[in-house]
Amino acid sequence: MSAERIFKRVFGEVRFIGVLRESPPLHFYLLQAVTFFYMFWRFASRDYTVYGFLADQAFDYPRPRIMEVWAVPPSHLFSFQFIYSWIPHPGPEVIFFMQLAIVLACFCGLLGFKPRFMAAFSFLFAVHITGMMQASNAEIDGGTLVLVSMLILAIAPGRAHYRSIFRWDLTKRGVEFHWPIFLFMFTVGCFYSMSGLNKLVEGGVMWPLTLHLERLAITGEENALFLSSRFVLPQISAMHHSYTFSVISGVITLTGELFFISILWLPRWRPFFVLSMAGLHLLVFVMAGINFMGSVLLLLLCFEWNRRVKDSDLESIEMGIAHDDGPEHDVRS
Amino acid sequence: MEFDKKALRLLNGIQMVFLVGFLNPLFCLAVKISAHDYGWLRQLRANVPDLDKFLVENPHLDLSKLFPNLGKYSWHPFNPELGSAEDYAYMGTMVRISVFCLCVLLVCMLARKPLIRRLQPVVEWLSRPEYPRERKICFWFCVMLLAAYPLKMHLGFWVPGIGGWTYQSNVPHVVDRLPIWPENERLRGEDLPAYLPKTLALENRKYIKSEGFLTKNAMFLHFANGEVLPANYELLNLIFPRYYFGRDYEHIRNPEDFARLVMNGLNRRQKGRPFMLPKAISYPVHTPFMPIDYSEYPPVETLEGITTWQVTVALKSGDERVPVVQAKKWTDIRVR
Repeated sequence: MSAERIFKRVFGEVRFIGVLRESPPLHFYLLQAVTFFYMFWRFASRDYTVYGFLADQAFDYPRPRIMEVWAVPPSHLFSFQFIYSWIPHPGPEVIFFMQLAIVLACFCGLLGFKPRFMAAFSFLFAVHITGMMQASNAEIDGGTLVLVSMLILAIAPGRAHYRSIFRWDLTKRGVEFHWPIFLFMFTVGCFYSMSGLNKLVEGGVMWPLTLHLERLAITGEENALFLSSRFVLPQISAMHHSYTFSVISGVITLTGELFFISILWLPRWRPFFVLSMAGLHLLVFVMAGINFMGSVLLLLLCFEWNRRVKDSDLESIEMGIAHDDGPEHDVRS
Repeated sequence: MEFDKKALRLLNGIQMVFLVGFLNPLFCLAVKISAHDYGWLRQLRANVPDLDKFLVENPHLDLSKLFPNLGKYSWHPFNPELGSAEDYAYMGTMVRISVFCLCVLLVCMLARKPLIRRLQPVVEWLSRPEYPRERKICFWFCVMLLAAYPLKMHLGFWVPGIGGWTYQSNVPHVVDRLPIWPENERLRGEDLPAYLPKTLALENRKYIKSEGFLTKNAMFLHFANGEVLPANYELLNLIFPRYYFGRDYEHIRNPEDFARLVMNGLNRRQKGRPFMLPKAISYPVHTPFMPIDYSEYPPVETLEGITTWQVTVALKSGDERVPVVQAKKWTDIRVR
């Protein structure tokens, strides 16, 4: 059997999502709905007004990971934290209204009212609040993917967004529904592949062997006895006392993360990558008390949702409009 | 030929990014080593007799004013309690990032022709006449995301991947012998406050198989009606509070701000809403703590104080009871 045939048998069809073509709108509409919903959920649930209680000295980028190699972290510029060199940091009331504005903007965007403006608005304010978090205590709070998704919604053409969540016209076709989805999947792919690369660079190729989830399980069970500890479900920890399991988990995590970018080419493997990362987020939440669970909503958008439109696009077939069936249907080819 | 030239330009751009990615951490490392050399530390110790106490009492002391060279060389804020250890740990990371960029740079230099061939489809994709504006947006967007990795740029909205860590250094906290603390600090027997066991989630006792002594920190809220109830750092709504308040639950710096955050968090949770949405449907914080139901706690207006403790409990196999055997008070913050 030739190498090409083995490759095809293992990896299936190779289809690059970056081939720009006219696509149905379903995937983009879902991106719009999920992104606005998730950001609404985050900002209506979490209390960022606490940054209004901290003294100015708290915002000096104490977390080494955010500083690392830059005298001024780029985040300081991109999240507009530099304005506080001239004006005082806002109090909790101002931050509350910022959050309220984001929540309202996301709600409007979810409904379909001025979605592009709402995306740009909520993106700018959300980045600003995220910048406060980065300046004071951490480099990440699990919101990276939703922020970039919101940026994609803001730069996507206005005609691409749905104008009413109750009325989606799935007979439309256009390249404006396709390239933002390519950017979205590229972003998710990059995020996880870079995380895998970080594990290799920081931990070495033996990372799965040195992960030692079984040690985390034991300390997790001990921590669960005290209410002052980070969240852990000891019922789950109790099932992870095996070093072999830790190594297998490590291998799956590293493989899933490192090669996540291949979702751009290998549709057959998308379920593996998406499910492995969803499983990773779930285990990290219940064993280590780190919440990235919202990213699972966005991970689900890495499936090819436009395939669902097939039955409903008869009208557009009659009109002779190209379909999202792979490169062979690319309007240029 | 035209594609060849464009692919070459693209490759040169990639090399440039990785060259900066290679040199920048080394430069940063050199600067950090200069700033953290022991010269200024010796000088500091000579000038301030009880340095540790002095630094704890002056948490945000601007050392650069006292030691001009420190400000000149280090852009990294000096964190007296934990900054140095983390700082040095990340030096290793910086070297690895630099080595990684060097490896990519070498590959780019040694395999130019095959790489140019590989880059041609990208150039071809970019040069297609259909949808030129969309292609440019996609290209520069992807460049921004990709370049952030070797340059280690946190753009606020984009973080180049979650860091890699392991649990190799995790050791069981249950020990055979009772930890020895200074006699004047520890409480034992009848001196122990009766509320300390409230910090225990006894339903989770059965998951600990080993026996011995387990020492952890605890936090309590003291109310005007005499009630003392357990709490945890989820009330603060910060991800890593230690950077501002010092090591978790220990000698808490900036106690006024700490009390304000606790009261804010308690006030919201008492109403059943961590923020705007009811707790049942709220998205959890990034670093959640063990669940505590604050809805039955006395009103936040009656909060009088916050104490943090180090508590040792005894664990015996076959015995579900978890007696507190000794405790040490870390902090006592009076709210009013």
